[in-house]
Amino acid sequence: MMLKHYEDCDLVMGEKPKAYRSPLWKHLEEIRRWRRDQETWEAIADRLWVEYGIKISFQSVQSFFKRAIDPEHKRPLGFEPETAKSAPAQRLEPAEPFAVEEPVDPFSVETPSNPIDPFAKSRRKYQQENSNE
Amino acid sequence: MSKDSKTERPPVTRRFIACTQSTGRVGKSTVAEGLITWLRFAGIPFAAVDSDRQHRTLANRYPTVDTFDATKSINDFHTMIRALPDFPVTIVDFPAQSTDFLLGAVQHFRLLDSFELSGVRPTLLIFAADDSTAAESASASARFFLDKADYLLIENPAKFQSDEFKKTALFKWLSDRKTPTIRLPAVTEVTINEWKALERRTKKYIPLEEAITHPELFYTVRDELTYFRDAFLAQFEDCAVPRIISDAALIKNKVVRGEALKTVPAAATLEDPWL
Repeated sequence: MMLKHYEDCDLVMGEKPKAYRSPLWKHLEEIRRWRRDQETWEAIADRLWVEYGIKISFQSVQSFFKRAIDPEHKRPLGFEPETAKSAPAQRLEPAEPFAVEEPVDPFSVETPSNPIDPFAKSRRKYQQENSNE
Repeated sequence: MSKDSKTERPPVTRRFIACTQSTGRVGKSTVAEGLITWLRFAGIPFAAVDSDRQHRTLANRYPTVDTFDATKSINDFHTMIRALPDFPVTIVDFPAQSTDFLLGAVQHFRLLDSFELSGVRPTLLIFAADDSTAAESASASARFFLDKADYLLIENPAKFQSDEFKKTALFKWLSDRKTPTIRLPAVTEVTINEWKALERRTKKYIPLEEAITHPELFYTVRDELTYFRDAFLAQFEDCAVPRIISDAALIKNKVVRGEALKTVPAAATLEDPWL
């Protein structure tokens, strides 16, 4: 049951953010992650609305993302993301002589065999209920 | 191999409820939501996963429902199966068009045998829809699972017709096994639209149980949703043992049948011969 909230989107002209001040900038990495999870633009627009209260059509999210990740896209002076060239030069401290890294035993580090639990929320809910009883 | 056949099968203690049919827009998530509503009402522990990442109907409405697309790859399916919790009921809402993948994955992991050995029994929701894709995938699922699963037949007159389905051999096969039918009561578009509009206004998804008492919904809308919820509760309770739960003692809260619920099937059909 996808909510087509863009159909009755009530944005008026006066509320439109100024150029390069889109509220989506804050969520760029999240949008990227959702896309990597193969979510549709419609689902992403839906999540932006539900999770952050950002009312936006899926077409707008898509065009924002396309713009935001395009390295060729021309940005106003000073708006460009920090690059190695634009970052202030940092003074390099001389490396400690003979600094040798401790050998790491790959079998000494415990890693969960399968960190993903598709039922995590259900388990948590019943653990909480049991602890409350 | 011979040892395997002699192995004693433990009693069924857990149910894995899902729909493997390739059907979209028939009310799959609505039925799952109805089932969750009944399980919560009856106080039965359950786990639910919304595997339909595109729509996320269940996960949006119920914060305790996990989101995990078990149909993305065989690895993801394996991850889900190996994490299957010990709750009496597990519901997975798979996306449409995943029949081939799911049957292939069940075959790959010899899941029917391992389910049997660990006391898990699948219950499949079969939507009695006339459209050919739905009917073919229902038939493929039933032919695959045969008697290693139980079935619940779903009719949703507001979304699809079931006349042709009732002429099929599959329907006869299901009837021979006394498969119960869950019939979704019709809800007007006005009610659905008002419910959705409320979700948009409040910027949050509102589960059925909350909607029926929400003061911002018009009383006719609340009444219609209440009847919808009660019809689900009554029907799921009626067919609960053994298809949804293995032990009736798990039901902590029973449905009190009022006059309205005694007429559920007739009121839900929209097939009044006088009209």
